[in-house]
Amino acid sequence: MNSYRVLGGLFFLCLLLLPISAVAAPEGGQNSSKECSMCHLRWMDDFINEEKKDLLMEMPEARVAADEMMCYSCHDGSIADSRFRVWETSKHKSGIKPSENVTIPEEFPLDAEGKMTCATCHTSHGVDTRVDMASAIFLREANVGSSMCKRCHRDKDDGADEGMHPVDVEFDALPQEILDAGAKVGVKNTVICETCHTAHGSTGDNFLIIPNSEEGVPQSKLCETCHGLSPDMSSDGVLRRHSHPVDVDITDDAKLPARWDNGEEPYLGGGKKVNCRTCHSPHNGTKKNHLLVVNDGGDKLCMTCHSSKETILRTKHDIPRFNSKEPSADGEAAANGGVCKSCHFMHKGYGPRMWARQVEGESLDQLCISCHAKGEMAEEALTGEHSHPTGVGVDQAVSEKSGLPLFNVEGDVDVAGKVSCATCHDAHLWAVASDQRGGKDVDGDGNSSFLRKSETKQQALCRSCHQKQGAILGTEHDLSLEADRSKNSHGQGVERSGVCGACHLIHNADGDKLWGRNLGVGEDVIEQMCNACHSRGHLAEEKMTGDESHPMGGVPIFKVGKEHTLPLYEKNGRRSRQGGVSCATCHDLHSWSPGSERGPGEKKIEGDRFNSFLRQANDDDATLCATCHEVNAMILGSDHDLRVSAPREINMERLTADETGVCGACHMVHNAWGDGLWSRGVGSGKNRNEALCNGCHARRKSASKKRLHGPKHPMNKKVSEAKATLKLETARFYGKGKIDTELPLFTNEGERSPEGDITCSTCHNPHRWDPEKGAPRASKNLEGDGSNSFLRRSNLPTSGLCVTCHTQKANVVNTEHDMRITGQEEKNRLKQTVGESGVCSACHVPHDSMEGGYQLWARGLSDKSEMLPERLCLDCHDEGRVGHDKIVEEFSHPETVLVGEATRKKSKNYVPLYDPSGQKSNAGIITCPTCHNPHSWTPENDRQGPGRQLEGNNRSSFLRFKSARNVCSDCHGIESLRRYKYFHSERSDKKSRRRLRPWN
Amino acid sequence: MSYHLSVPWFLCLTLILVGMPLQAVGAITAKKIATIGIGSGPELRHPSDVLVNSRGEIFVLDGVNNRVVHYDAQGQYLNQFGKGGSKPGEFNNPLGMAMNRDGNLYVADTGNSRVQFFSSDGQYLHHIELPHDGDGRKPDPTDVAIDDVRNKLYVVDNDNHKVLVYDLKQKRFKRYIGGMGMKGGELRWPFSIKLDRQGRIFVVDVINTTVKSYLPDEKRHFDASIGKWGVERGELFRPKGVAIDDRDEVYISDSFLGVIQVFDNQGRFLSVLLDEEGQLLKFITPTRLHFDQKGLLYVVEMFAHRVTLYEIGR
Repeated sequence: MNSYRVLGGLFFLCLLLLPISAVAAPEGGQNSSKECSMCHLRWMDDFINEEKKDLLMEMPEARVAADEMMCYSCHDGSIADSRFRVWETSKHKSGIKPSENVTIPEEFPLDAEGKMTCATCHTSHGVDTRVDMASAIFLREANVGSSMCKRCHRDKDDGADEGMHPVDVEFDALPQEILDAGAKVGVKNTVICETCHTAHGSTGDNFLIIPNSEEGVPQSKLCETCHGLSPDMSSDGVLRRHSHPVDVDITDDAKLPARWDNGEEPYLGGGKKVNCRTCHSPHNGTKKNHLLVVNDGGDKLCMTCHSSKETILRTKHDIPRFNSKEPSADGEAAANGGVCKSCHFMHKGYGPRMWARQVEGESLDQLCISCHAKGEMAEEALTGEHSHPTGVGVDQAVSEKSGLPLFNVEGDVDVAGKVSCATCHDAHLWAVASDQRGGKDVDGDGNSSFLRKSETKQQALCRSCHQKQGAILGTEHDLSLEADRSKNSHGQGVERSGVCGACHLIHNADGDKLWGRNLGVGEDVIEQMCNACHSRGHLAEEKMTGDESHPMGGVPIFKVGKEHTLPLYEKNGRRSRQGGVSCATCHDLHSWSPGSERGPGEKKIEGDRFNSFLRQANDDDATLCATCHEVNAMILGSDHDLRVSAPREINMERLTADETGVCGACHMVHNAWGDGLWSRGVGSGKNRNEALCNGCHARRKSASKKRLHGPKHPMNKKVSEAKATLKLETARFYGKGKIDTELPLFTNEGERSPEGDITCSTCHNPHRWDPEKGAPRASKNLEGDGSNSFLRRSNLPTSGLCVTCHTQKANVVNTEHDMRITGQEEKNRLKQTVGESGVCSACHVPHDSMEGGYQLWARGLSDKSEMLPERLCLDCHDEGRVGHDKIVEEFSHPETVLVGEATRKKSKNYVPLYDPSGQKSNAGIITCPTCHNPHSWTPENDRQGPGRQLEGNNRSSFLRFKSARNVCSDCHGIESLRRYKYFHSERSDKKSRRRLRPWN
Repeated sequence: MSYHLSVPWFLCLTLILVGMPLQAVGAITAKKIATIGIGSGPELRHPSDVLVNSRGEIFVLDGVNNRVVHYDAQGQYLNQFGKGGSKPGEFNNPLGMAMNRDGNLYVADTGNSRVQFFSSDGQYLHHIELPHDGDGRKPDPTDVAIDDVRNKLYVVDNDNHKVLVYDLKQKRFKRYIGGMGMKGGELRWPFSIKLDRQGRIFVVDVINTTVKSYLPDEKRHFDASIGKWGVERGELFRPKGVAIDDRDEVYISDSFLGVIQVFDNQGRFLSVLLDEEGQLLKFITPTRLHFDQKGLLYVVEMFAHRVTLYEIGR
């Protein structure tokens, strides 16, 4: 712009405006023309320099005061901030022509094109609305009680009878939530248009003050804000309340019409959710019908969405048909309310599922019980004490696979929910597999009864959840396979009850396990159930169990310190970790073989160790037996595993070990031939335990090579020292639990008892070759040593097994009589070195000792003496023998015995005298063991030897006494020393010793 | 400038104008070089203010969304802070903001009647409660300005027609500028405020259709009115924003006319912004203006939900 032109223009403008300015703009005054032109832009003409017309905008043609941008020029925050309320939310329609549903009074101007504009409702010259400037919205007239709204929307206050949401109805108070959202109320808290709608500021559809139907918002939130306060309706969500839910997906079986009776298309909220508006039209409801969209508020509307529920008609649950006078909780007869309303109220129900009858609590089962109870409509169909449980959980994987619904505490379907009546029953469908509707007097069965699935082999309701039990099909426990004509307690054959129903009754069973047949005898309910058929005169009498069968009840041994995988049962048949063994501990009555999905499909089939309804196969590892008898399973691969040592041997049932499994070769679980479930022959022996061993360890028997030839460790005899120890250990077995290496005593009948005797199994565990390592694999006729040989404890290196009883003999360890010190290469009569036999067995063997069995001697006998004890000693203490360093040439003490204190048995210092056969006798003579205890180097302490060869003295040297005053001096007085030196001094030669023989 | 003109005074002015040497004033043009708020970052809704820090990073007050959106110097979205509410750090339709020499932000939290203080990375630091007017009207802060030299915070109180002066050292309001009226330094619905390099205060007086300048001096503070009512060049219809460039020339936006006009700091009209071809440069509801350190002009186009960036030419 040229500055000269500007200045010139200013000059002339000043001249021209001088008189105007002086009049129109007094100091501090208000120029009304200017103020008007702030909005009435066309009035600016009076102030425009007609010559220059250097305008910064094009002047509008219309002389209306304001368009939208004129409003925005002040409502952008510079005067008032309406950016959000007017321009960022839904606002009353403008810029369009009014619809046919409204009538615009002349006082409310439209623009030149007949369209609504801001000025249609607003003007800065409006009436006094008695609000301050901050709240003024400059309406064309006062909108008291939404009166201005009604000027256009004229029929909206006709009332509910005309299908319009009531307005101008007084309330004590409206919910604070709706007031906080901006709701306005009329005088005396009346509901007005602006209680629900706002012309500006709505963030939802239909100018509602709280979004009510958009996707992502709670459906019908606005409706619930007021109507949620009604009795028995909860406003905190839609699922717990006892009204028809909203904000849920439309049902799959919905058959919505093209238009409802009121002419509207069916309405669903955001995300195709059910909304209050789906059934009600707040401004277009049918007349006198709760603003419903249909003329009939009964079954028709319900079954539009719930079309599949039509199957309830003509069933026992068609209340109007069969119990037409039956009243709902509100007293309305069924015939008047219709089928749906007989049980459900759309609003204000008395329980879950909008229940139309009085119920106690929130359980879904209570709905059923409200009729199926004494004195109620369905009292002929009650559920008794022994009925399928409800309120119990189901494994989620099973639940998902079952196809049956579980229900949570809110009564909604939930895979993590609980079993309810409705889990098995669909109250709206009598027979799922047919078109039958039943009728009032038709008895139901496994194919009807409102069951969700038919209890037949094809659909198997029970097996939907009890999927493992479905394996019963095709087994001998499938009574349909057996063509059994017997009936359950309800008089139903298997063809009506289904396979499960043949033994179990879902409702009103006879006892635990929903048992539906008679009971037999037995320790517990499980056994009684089994014996209902497995007993004489009954269905499975050929599979009875005899007296000699696996024990039942009690505490199984595997419970000691070990988790078990087999179930135990209480007397009442319930599983319990504190329970006892029962039939079902080993048998899965529903599965012919472990993991099978169905049986072989044959009748009277003979089972074996891999099936026979066993929970686990008794395979080559004896898995089933080993579950409890884990230690005994160490027999595998040993010589007592007959598959290894005697594969052709047969048991009493004429089965080989390969056919029976390792355990079954010797034991039969049912119908055995004697104690211990023994399934083989027995040999000789006072004790049954010994007799069992001799059944094989005998001539011409399978273990003839390991039979006992010579003298053996005494059995069935009173051996006081051993008995004392073993009693203690055996008692410990019973008192505190099993310790595998303890040495038990046995009664003659073969029972463990602290009052029993020593027998084979006291030292041997026939199921365990090596007490520490178990069994070698496939080791036929392996020659054992002191560390194995089925011993309960290893005898290597220091004879731990022997000294369990022979405790005093343990002092021989590390003395010169411990061959590990003096003769490691020396061999006993079994050709074993001390390293192979252990310390004790270098001189003694429990089996096949020397002839006569004296001291179970395992070495040779010297011929230099007649006295048997001396012959034992001289076998080593001789030239060329292991004890050649300690030869006593003059070893024979005179036979004369000087009676002294030491020869009295009750004496504290008693020393034994022996007869020539080696037996202790007061009439005997003095011989080596009279003075010497070959198992103890020194008498002073109860301890082992020094661990090396050593020259002894009168305080050691295997002497029985620690004082010189005793052994010798008792008899020889002060000569004792001289005599001792005579016989024992290295310096005395043979000649002089002979000369000095005191008795010569 | 007062409307009250006496004859002797007018004659003197006429003689002065005639006697003055005619000064040449060239056209001022603007070249659009960028748009902020479209294409990078969240969608803006009715933004009302813009600031640029010393690193060239841009802060846009996205008031309807109750947040400050932060862009880098190239206009790429970095982050944002604030949300709707009345707790510390939350906003209720904020309208204006200012930045101190440290790059920290003062936000006029309009709906909550307070000014909030944030660090440059958007951390809430504290807020200042504003005094109520004597007749009980609550404060209505629509813009703020910082005088780092004098430690003054100026708060535009729109509904109460004042600019509140806050002493940042003493942490109290000491006085106010304006007051309801049309005379001299009086104001009617002031909306925006900016300071020039000398600390002179420029307030957009919307209904009086002018921009009033005040000296920072407490005694003689009213200085001049810039622009007058009208729809022709050099006239204002809905003045909304003001910015002062490094030549001390005053840029005033007019949201209804959709133009930006330039005056000297004594109120003499210099030019309306033209495009590069010399045509009138039209904006969509231009509101707040801001010059960065490079002299680039940022224009908030509120109804277009964007901020446009212009290079000024002559």
